[in-house]
Amino acid sequence: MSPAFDEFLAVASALLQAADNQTDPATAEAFYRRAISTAYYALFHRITEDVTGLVVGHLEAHRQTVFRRSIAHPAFKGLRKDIADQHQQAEQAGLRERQSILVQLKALCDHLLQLQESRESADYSPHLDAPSITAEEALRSSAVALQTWAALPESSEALFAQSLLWHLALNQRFKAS
Amino acid sequence: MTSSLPKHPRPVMCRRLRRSSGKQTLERWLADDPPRADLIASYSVRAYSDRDGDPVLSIDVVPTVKALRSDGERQELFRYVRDLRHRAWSVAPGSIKVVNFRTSEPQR
Repeated sequence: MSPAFDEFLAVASALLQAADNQTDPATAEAFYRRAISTAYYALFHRITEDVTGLVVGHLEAHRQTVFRRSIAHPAFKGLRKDIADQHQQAEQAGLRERQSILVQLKALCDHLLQLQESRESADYSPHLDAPSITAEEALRSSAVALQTWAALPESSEALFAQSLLWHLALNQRFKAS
Repeated sequence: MTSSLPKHPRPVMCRRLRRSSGKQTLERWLADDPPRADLIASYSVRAYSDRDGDPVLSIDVVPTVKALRSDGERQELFRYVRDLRHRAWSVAPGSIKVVNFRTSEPQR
């Protein structure tokens, strides 16, 4: 059974609330750090699970898990650039409907990359400035991105999945060479 | 006489040059179109590499006291910061752009 990824955001919210109630600053920071990390994973797991369903939904569960786990975090950096390039091409060709889809996908990648950076700091940086504001923004950002993702038509999700697959293949090729 | 300097910048030097010029581009962009003073008390641009070695440009912002006063104002701040980040992506290509919050001016 797949983990209940949708509950991640509720967990992040509970962590934020717990942090706000702490009297010891060090304990509060520990809660804020966990909240930031969980807010990122709420979005990351939702997207990777849906992309897995789109690409290999017909395979057995364990094969789907192998695919899902192969979606590495750095793939989203290349994806952002690729989507921006596609947007520019659509703009030049005057394809308005495609442009509006790509604007949404670009914004989604922005959320992902910002959350990735915030999570890196929260998980690895010994000094985290403004943890409460960063955690609050991470939660809001994750919630906005999840809403955007949920509202996307399947064709847009497929476009996102297709671009992501390309970057996974590209990374694999570089690793192999 | 032959020079001991390398004929071409080494890859690490190239990356540094690119990053520094990207930082200047982003700084110029922000100087021409400064962030909203009612929400952002001060800002600075920082260039660094993430854990994979990819260049990141961060706009470090210190929110104003007013922007953090109520839930509605905080929401406005976060909405504005998201828009700022999204717009920053079209400036200085080749870097990841993020906005990091600070409680005071970061040490450089």
